[in-house]
Amino acid sequence: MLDREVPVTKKIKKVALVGSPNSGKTTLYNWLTNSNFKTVNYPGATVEFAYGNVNPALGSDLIFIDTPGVYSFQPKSRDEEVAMDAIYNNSVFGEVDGLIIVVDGTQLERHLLLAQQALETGFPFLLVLTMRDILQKANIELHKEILEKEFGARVVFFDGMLGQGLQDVILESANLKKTLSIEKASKWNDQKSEQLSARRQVLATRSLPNCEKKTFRHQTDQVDSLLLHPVFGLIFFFALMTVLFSSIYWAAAPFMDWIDQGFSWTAQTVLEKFPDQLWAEFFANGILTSFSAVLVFVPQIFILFFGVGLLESSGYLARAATLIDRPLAKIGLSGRSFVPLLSGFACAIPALMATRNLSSKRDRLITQLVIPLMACSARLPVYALLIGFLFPESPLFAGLALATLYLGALVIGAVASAILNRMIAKDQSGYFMMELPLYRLPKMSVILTQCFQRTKAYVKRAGPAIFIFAVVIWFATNFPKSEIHEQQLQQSYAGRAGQVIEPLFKPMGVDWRVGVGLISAFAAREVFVSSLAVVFQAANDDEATQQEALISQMHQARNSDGELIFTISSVIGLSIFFMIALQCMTTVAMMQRESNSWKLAIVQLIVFNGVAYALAVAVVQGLRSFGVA
Amino acid sequence: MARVIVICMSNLNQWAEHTLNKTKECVIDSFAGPLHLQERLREMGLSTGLVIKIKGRAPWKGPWLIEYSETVLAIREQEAQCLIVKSL
Repeated sequence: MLDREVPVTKKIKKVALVGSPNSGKTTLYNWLTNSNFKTVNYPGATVEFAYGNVNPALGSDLIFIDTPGVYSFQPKSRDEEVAMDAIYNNSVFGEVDGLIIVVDGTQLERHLLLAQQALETGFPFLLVLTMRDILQKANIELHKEILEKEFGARVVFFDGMLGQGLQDVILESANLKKTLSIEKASKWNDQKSEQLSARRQVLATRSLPNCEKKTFRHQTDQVDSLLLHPVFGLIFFFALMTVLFSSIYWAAAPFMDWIDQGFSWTAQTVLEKFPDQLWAEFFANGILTSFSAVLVFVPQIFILFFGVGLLESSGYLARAATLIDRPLAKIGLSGRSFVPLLSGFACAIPALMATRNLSSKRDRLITQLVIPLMACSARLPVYALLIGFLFPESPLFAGLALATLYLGALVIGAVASAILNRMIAKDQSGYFMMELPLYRLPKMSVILTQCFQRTKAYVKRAGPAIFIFAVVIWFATNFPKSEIHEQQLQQSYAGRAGQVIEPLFKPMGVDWRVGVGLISAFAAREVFVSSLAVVFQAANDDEATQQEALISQMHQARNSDGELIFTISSVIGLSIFFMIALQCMTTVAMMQRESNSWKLAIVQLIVFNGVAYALAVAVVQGLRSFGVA
Repeated sequence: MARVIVICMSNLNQWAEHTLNKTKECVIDSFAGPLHLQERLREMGLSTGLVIKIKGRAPWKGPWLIEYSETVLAIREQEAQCLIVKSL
């Protein structure tokens, strides 16, 4: 539930938006409540109910509730159960006072099923017809009076692009009054289903009299003939994924340089203006270095969110899910798992929630267990640093290396899924039926707004952990003060504690300083980078930027035996560790919530980290035995 | 005379190649299989007498793509088995 913090009183009318997936509910909800919830051209994008006051500028006293899309009042997946709970007995309001049935005007015959079922429940309702712009473009008139007569409910047109009809929606919502007792919609037998289906057909034909022989899908069909082609469709899919994930590296490079140079200049200026001042050293080498080490990757994260946002808005995701349903089914997943898995590349939290639209508990469980293996945005700074170390002068190779790491995440996820597929008993409740929506041109302003919000949320989430670890690690590496500068680090609190933990990390080819980074990454993965920056004193270097300084320090860093710490084998080992390790505690908590099992969440935590460590050690030792440094 | 064809017979591919490639359109005659799947198919707008057009199939014998009432639905073979169709 997404709490909008509205005062809840008995007098305020609560109206729930109910509609088939992709009918435009969230768009309407955003207009009504002046919200910015993500609107996506993919069936099943909303998996949680949200509520909010009507936009005060629109002058009414209503609360609107957005619900996940449903095909009927008989739920068949977790997200549909959430929708039904939201209208009959939600945790905030109990039962709602009325419904807005959101109907896509281009899918009238199919979407009117919900209105027929709503009649049975006794809820007062209003029919809101969306996608009118598409009807108008096709010169099709919709006779709403026929629907008003049939359902005894008001019908309002709403334009999601311009917000036209919003006042009517609010006015008619305010007029909804309960006059009947509320009941659950009954299951229809075949005969009744057929009768009502025939009735919907009649209604659609009469309401859209000049619609015969017209299709809204012409352009979409043309695009699909290529994008769903057995050969070209697959080539396009893999090319698109490669471009998406490799562009994260090269497209962000100039922006990263600007940020890095900005931090570097600030740190150097502070150190020059206030020489030998402890606070200046702390500020420059502790705080600025830590934040610079992570914030420099914000452009990459923004580009990742932007790419995923474009795919979500265009309608392509449903095609991608269809294209790879068969290979995913072979390893125990479903085409519907694709979207949660792709979301997992941004963040595992919404990805775990997105599994709710999987009908099969088994598919849902396997998808949930595999999602933390997807390379989330928090891993990006770590990968970028390690790749920057391996390919400092070649953006092309660096981009391809990043794409390889993302591909590697998919391969590891596939292996894990195949193993789970053999371990978990099969059930019969899963199915794959995916509506392929019309393609739409993504609205750049909406996507950019969402990218800014998601990037801001990322920074806000990582910020406190970075700050705390910056303070702790700077203090632990700078105190107590040693009289011999070269021995400062070894004799510091961190250095002394490091000797204790070093045996654990030595098999991975790294020393205690990297071990400190690996442990601090359990607060947030990005903290690994900021910890390394502080431990290796990146700001003290004379390099042009802090990132270059950190990489330069990594090239020179040696362990107590005088061996280089960061070598090809140890960096590959670290990459593998980060690909598999489950370090995000929020993900563990969300896993518990979605699976309703602490045991499962804790087992997942232990197994993932154990396997990550064992594989990293095996790869490092294996490479070294073959002569790779 | 209308010929009744069960979509998910074991010779589906043969059927698809020899029948669908010629007509590509058929009409739903009845529903079969698990009740929850029948229900969901009806909820998604499929009903007896409805003409559906088979647009193709995803790679690696993936989901069928069927078109009806301004909707294109991707549907796996085992779910398609619930639709009993006859050629037009």
